[in-house]
Amino acid sequence: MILSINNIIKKFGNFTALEINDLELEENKYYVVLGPSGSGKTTLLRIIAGLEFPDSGKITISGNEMTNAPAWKRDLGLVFQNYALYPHLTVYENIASPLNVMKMPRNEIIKRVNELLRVMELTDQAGKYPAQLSGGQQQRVALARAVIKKPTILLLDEPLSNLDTRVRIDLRDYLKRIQKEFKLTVIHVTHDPTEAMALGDEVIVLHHGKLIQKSSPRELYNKPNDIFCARLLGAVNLIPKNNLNINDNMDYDLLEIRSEDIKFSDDGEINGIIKSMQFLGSEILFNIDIGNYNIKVRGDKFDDNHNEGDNVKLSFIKSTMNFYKSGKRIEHTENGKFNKIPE
Amino acid sequence: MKRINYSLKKRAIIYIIPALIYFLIFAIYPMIENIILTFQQQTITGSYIFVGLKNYMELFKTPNLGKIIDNSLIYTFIVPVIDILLAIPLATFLKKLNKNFLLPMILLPAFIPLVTGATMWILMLNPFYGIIYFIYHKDLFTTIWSIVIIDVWSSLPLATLIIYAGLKAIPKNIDEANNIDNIKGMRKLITIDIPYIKYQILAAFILMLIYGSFTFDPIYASLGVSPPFANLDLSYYSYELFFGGQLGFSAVLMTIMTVVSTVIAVIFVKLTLNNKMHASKFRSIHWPNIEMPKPFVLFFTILYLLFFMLPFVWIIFESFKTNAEIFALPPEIIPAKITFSNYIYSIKQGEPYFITSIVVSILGSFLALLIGIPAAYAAARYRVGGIKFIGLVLFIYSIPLVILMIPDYSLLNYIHSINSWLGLIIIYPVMVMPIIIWMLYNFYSTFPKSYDEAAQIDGMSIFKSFRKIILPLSYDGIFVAFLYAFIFAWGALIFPLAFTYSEYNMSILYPAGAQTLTIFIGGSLGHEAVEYGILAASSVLSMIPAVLIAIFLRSKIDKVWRGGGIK
Repeated sequence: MILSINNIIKKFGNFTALEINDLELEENKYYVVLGPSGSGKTTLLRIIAGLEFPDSGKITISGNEMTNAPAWKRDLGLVFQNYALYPHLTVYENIASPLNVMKMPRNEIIKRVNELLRVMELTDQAGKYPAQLSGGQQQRVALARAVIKKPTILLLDEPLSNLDTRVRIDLRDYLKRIQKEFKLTVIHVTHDPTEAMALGDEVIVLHHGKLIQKSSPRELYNKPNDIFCARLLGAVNLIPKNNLNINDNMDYDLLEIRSEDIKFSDDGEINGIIKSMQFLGSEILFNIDIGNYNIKVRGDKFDDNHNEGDNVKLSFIKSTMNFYKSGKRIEHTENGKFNKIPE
Repeated sequence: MKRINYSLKKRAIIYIIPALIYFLIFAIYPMIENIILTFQQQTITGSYIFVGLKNYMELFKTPNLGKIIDNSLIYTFIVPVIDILLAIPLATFLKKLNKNFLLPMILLPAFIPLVTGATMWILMLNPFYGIIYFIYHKDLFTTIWSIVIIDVWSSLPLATLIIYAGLKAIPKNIDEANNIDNIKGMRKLITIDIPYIKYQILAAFILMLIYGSFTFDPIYASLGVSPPFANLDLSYYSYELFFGGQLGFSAVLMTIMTVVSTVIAVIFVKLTLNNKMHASKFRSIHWPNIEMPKPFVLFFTILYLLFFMLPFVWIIFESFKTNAEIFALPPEIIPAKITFSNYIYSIKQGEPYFITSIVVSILGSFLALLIGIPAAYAAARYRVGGIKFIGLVLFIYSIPLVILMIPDYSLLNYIHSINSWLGLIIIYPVMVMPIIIWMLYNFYSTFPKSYDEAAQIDGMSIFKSFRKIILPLSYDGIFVAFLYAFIFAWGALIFPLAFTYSEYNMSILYPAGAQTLTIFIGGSLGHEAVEYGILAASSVLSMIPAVLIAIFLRSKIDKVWRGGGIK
């Protein structure tokens, strides 16, 4: 275990920002901490970094207890959301800064920085000041500064949120490549579910300061621990029991099915009327009234057969359904058995 | 409020310790020592003996004390009321005209040494040789009102600036909403703007109260042209007693002033640290809803400018006149033939004073920076000392310096630094460090935390991060703070008067004597044979740094002074 967190509590005044009982992270993995704003994800990152300190609990990094150690004793790298590049130093000096502090020999510093400048495709920018760089370049400088001392853990605080969409997708690949190339343990904080799924070996979901789920992106998407996690990742239909008469003898409140797991089908069991539709480019999102209840259904982008006001028949891919009781997912044995087929 | 780790905070305490110790020795201890002194008297041999309440009995025996207290009350209450009444319209005009060059012009009276300002008025209001000859033939300096005018003239800029900064800080969308609702002119000013900037107006009022209640410099400068006791106040009288060796009774007056100033200062500190808004009661009255026509605004602004600028114009004219022109009757307004002899004599006679002023102002401000910067940073970034430390700083900022005179004299005497550059350099931070800490505290409070955090992540301790990252990034703010500190140090009068008695001996190896330019100028009018031309030239020379700094700071002024202020 490269990092273990035990019974951490952090309060700001009366507000409990973070309460984590047990979190263990392994080496050389890419972890993404996912949660909406106010979920405590940045607080968790700052506590790991040593920029905030927990009110109680224990943090162990590479086997050493570090709960109250200041940031400069933890040997971590951190990329700030606003990058926090030193504006009075050049790109080269910014990247070299952690090595200078370590009092590394000069030629060793030059060698390492130049190597990293090459990897980061920043060689031409070495003499410039941060203000002269684009957002993406600043981001890479910040990343270079964070990885140059080969930190035990690399922390990324919403590293892509200040960039425009195109650069963001490029940098995602880049981050993953850097992590593999330098064999880093990464903790990446974000509120963007797509980013979390694209990057994470494991995703850690926080809500109201508590850890809800820690699993691979696939598992998180297919078997969310609760409704919050289910809603977090993409469009989902949550249908109260008794609307569809599915698995009636099972004790649950809500049935969950993703919009892509519902298909138009002539022998479908469920009837509905198309209320509205949104053309999204790669797909069409239908809003369908199935009697007292509206569900979202993804259709093919070339689908010309279905229009507003049409009566349609739908079939659910039953194996993908999940069932929830008081917000938590419950295991079920019968895969979507209809007790009564609606007319 | 965010909690910051105790261990970081504990480390950062080291940063405020020097400032704290300095304030305790040179500002807090003296106030306590004064109280002890009130029960003592100095014997001929120089030792102190306990005399009980004898010093306090002097209060009832001093014949002119009633007059002195009356004068003090007039300065304390009339000056701030006039200031605020004049400052609100001026600030409104400034916002309306929105011309950047006006601000430094208006601020000039506050930037130049107060003694120089007083001298300018004394020359201008001279019933025979001053420009007032054409309007009014009586000598205003036989009354207290001359001092009131000088006080208002020199303090109005600051009052205006604080209120102006407040007006400028009103969000644009409020102005726009008023526009749409058709609320304008007097109605907008009284029902919207003034309630919005109530805090700034109060802060300005309190600051002016402090300013007026301890009037000193103009009284000193006008000593030679005023009848005895005509304009004396407690502040100046206690200095006279100190100078005459009546330390016990002087300490009694100072203790009284300490109590009064503490009360005012506490109000000031509370006001400055809790910026809260309350609803207004003036809304129900139907104020005229008409915008003032631009020609009127211009006319009144020009009147204000005349008030501020006329003394400058007059003293510059005087400085280029020959003696015959200066004492011509009726006065010659514009010199017929420009002569530079006044300047040559001024530099010759004043050289040691100029040198002393430059040296002690720069080094004194520098020492204050050295102690003040880390303290301001630790207080802002790590909340070291919390609100108490900043409260202490503002408190020291708002007490009159004259009350520290006797004990600080003993302290400097103890380290053999009376009448020396070193003595003044050591003592100047009492006067300028509170301003430096307050300005930089505000600067660092808005400074992004992430630079320091990035430095910590890079492996720098908070001390290294401060030295390598924070300091280089705050040179701008530090430079501005230094300039303000310099302006105060340059215009300082009370400390040089109390702690020096001769001019610099011009020896490089064994420097002695440290009377400043302010003493050179302020003391001249007390002499029998006054060289008005030379005095005018010296005054003009003494204004040069202030003028340069005012021009340099013109774009930063209202930002830097927002919330803060200047004594």
